[in-house]
Amino acid sequence: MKLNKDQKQKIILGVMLMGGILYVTDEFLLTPLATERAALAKEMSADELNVRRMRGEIARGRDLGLKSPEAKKKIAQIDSMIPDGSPIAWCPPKIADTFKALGVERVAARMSNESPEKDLNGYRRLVWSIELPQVDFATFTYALADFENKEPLFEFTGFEIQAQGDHVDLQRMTLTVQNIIKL
Amino acid sequence: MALRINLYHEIQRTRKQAQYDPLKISFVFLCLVAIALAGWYFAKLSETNDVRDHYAAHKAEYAKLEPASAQAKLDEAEATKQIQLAEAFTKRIEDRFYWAPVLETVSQVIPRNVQVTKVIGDISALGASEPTRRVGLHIDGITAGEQPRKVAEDLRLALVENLGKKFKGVTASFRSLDDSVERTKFDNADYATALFSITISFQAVGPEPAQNQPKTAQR
Repeated sequence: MKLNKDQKQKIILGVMLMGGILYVTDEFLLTPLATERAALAKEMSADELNVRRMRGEIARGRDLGLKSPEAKKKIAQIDSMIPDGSPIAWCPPKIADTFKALGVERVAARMSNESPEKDLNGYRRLVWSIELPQVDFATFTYALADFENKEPLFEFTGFEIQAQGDHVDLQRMTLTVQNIIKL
Repeated sequence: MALRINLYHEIQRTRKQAQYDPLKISFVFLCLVAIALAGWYFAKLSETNDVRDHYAAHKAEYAKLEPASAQAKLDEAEATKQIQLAEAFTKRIEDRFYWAPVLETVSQVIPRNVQVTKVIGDISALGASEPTRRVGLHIDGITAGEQPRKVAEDLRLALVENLGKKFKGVTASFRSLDDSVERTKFDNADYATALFSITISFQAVGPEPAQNQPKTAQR
């Protein structure tokens, strides 16, 4: 089939129209959609890391939240062992009463040092010097064992036992003990 | 055979030409392409809408997680603080050094012919709860016997042996061991005496707290 000039012109016009339609479709319809999809995917991908991190944080918080009541209970137990008020008011009588209950009558306690506890935030350490001017060794060891078992917040860090020349069965004892109290 | 003359051949040719008009064909083809493109566009639009929905859901989850995460961070910090504090307390309490077993051992080891005049005990690195804390024990006294210096040496060895059963790294040495000019009566006999001073050292990682009171307590 031989095309005449008019037909050729029409075909060229048709091709141009098709090119135009393809261009418009791609440029103004498909490309914006593709760009939008790419942008959304990129943003979601970036957010995905954050979402994963946040989910991890929430899971970790939940796990720690499960352990935390146990820790709180332990701290509450420890706090309940620390009487309210100034330690200078309750600590010496407490020490004296504990020893007296086991037969050590003469007990004098005085505070010798005070410092913050770096490991135990919100608590501080007090150092006490305890004088037992006349006590026999057996009674003292019973009392010491009892005190060490009953008072977990106290630790004896030093002592001196001195024989008394005039009383063979009695010794003079000086103890250094530290305890933990709340700030 | 009859002859048929087609008198409409011109009209038929015109019709055929009109039927295969390139412009018409082009328009048909263009319409088909346009329909295909429209279909493609709607497919992509649908895909984009899916992505938008997914994005909206994602954003909604993000918005929900963000405050929960911030709260979880605060809770975590608080819980960590509490747990660390509880652990530090537990460690502090469990790492306490108990003197009662030491004094019990010392009192059991000292024989009747030894009089202890002074005992001093202390723990190094006070306040630090590392297990390498060392305990120092200084025992001064008088021994009596045929060979009072040997009695003192036996005492030193007995202290090392018995404390070694409960504690690690026990060492004991004489700070001084001197014969005394004084003599003492003991079990109806007259004995020479010696003055001794023993320094004992061991790691402050010892036995469990004394569950029972010391069995015997001698001076």
